[in-house]
Amino acid sequence: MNSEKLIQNTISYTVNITNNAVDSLRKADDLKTVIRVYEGECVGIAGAIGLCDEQSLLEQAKDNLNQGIPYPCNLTSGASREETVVNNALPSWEILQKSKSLVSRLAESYPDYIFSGKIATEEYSAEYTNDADTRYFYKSDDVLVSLSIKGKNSANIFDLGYGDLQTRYSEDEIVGDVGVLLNVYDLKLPFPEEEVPVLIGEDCLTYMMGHLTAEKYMSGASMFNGKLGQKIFDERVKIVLDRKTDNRRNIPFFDCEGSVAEGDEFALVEGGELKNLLTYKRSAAKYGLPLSASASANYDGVPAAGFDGAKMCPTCDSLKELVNGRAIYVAVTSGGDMTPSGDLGLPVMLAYVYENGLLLGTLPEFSLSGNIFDVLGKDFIGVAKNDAFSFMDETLIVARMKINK
Amino acid sequence: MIRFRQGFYADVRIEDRFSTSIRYRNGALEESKASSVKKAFIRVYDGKMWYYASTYKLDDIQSELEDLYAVASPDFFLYDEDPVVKKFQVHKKVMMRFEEDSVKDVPMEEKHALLTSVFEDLQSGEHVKMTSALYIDRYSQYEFFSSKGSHIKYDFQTCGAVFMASFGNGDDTFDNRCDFTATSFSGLAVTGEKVRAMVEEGENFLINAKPVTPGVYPVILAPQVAGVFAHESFGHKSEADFMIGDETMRREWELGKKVGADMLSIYDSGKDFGSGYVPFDDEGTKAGKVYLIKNGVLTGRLHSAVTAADLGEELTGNARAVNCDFEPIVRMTNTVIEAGDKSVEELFANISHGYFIKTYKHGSGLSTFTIAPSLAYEIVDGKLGDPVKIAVITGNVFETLNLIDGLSDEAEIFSFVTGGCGKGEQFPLNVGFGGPYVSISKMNVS
Repeated sequence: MNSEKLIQNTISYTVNITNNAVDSLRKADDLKTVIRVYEGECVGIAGAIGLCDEQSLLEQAKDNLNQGIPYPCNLTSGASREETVVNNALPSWEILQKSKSLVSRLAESYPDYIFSGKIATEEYSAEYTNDADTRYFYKSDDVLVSLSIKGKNSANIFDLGYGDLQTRYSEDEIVGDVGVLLNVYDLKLPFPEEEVPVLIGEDCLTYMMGHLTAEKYMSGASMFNGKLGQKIFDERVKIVLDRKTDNRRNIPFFDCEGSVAEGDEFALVEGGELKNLLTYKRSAAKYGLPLSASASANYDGVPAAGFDGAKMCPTCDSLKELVNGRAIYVAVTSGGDMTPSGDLGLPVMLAYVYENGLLLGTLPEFSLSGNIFDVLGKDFIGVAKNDAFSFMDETLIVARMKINK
Repeated sequence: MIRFRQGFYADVRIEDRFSTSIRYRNGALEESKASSVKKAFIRVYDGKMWYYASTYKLDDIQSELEDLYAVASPDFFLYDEDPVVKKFQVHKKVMMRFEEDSVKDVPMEEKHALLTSVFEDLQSGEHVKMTSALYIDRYSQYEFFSSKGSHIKYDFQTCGAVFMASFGNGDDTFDNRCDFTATSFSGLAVTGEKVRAMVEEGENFLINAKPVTPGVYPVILAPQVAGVFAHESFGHKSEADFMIGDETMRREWELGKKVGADMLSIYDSGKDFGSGYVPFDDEGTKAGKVYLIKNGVLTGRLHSAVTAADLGEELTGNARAVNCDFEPIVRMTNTVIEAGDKSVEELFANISHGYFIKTYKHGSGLSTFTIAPSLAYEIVDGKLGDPVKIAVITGNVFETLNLIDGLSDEAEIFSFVTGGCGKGEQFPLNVGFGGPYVSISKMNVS
């Protein structure tokens, strides 16, 4: 019998902001432990929230082998790695005072708007061990800023959002970024007469991910059916699972079953070619596929394919290199989805005209449509960081899409 | 026994949650677990700020409470003067509806058998490439104490089975599902016929669905889709927390304002059994039934104690938290469009060319609402036509509420064991919704 254990602890302090006032502070301490045992090609799992007796948890996991859940035992052996990232970006004892200071500055700087939302500081740690002498440990802390912004004369619940999960905190940069959005918010512009590219976030990746799981693909029910190893997108498109500590927030370099990708990065699409699928130990073994090292599970659940760290890699250093003239920056969408054929529909509630690193003004509501194979294929222009903001780290896809006014 | 201090309002909510999750893929067992989690959420209010703690250390609730008192400032006139504290109801009540018929007592073998009994039906289609079968249940016991003297115990239960099939035919793919939900295991009416019908309809969609030309069309929403429309288009806008201290919103959302077609009435009720059953909300307020819209006129909204005090309105029992990790915020319970007076056939007969949205994948709503359909059909000359592939249907909320031109004469309320409502950081919250068949004269289809 083999066993493995994962302990995760999150301690967070969260400030709530309602209508330009800090109105609450929440402290939360979340400790989760899971033990998995493997015997006879089956897995037994037991999990606990809070402090637990690990011996008794182990016995529960052994008892749960009788559920007969097939799972290969393929423990990583003899590996050891520890990463502790101390950002100390916003210490818990400062969050209340700094949040009040930020809200006060935002309200003074932009008196025609109302700010609500959350500011949170979170310390996360994860330790994976198994009885094949592997131990991985990861610890980091970060800051979440999530603001909803509403015009004082607006009848909407909110008009736009702003925020990011960051390893640093800068009130000046946040106030400046909000200004980038609000200083031209009331400047209503007509749609550009010329055909202009669209700048959209990476959300469209989410629609595709379910079709990239090994089970879905191998069953023949994926929109990418039969395309593994083939070119599906423009050759500059690269989609990876990035678990590098410098790039990701609160995502350890190992997944929930102790798998680590080489270089902490796993390519799903590279050079426009569908290179790999999302796997975990069971599906990788069943179909003879490489491990994507992105398994995820509830604290007491059986691992399944996840896609933490999924992102599109920038194709150049600057958005200015991709946009020659004006473009439409999509700031707020209302839902949106994709048909199994890849047709996208994105209702856009707020968009700005972008030019040379600046937002010039806002556009009337419209919707976007296009097919994902075209958006990342013949209509693809590139991927770059949004250069309009300082604190907010946003990656944008630049493509030609149909604008339905 | 919790000892509350003078000069503060405080309450403690404890949830003891039992849940089961069983999952098969292609007939092979992938997960089978029963879990129990007990956590507490503690709130202290000093008249200026709220201080919260979420903890799994149930033996340390008193010390957690003392820690919160230590950072708050006492106000010895709080109970006499603070409008929020005055609003809190006081109940001493035990309301255990499901204890005698708890899913905790149902053997795992019976839960497995519920799924395996229809595997043959689930895998019956020629184009079925992958199948999933889920069984999920939850039994929660809540206990609530407040410094005003409340002590409430109540329970909640839901269980259900979900069968999903992924279809493939060359480059074409489609996913379809059917759900069975009840408040007791014995109430789950899983039938092979319904599963087989789901597979047949999915295959028909796979083979015959055609793309639509984006545009503006008349649309009929099936009761489940009408429910998500009510929830997304108007329910979220009825949550009064967005009105706190906002004069514009108070003017815009003044009760008595005409906001929809005359035939339209929408209510929210935590009293009805199902996903949105909330006998007491998470600050101890008894469930109510609130008409949000009555005959097209804005008649009510959903409140916590803070929002009810701020707007000078009555409590409604809508302060809810997704679990003991979070504080209660204003949320829906069961949100329903009331039935009208037409037959379903009459609604269809009025449309020469439009679309029928039978099921949905997800919805969202701000000033514009969006629903991503799953099964959808063309309507031609009043008759159901071919299946169609639609990415989203969208519209401006208030324009669309005024474009409702027909409601069928029977409403259905739906419960769910997967998914739920999301608001800010809190997802998924168990809610229910429903309505009749709803005809809308114009909607953006793409």
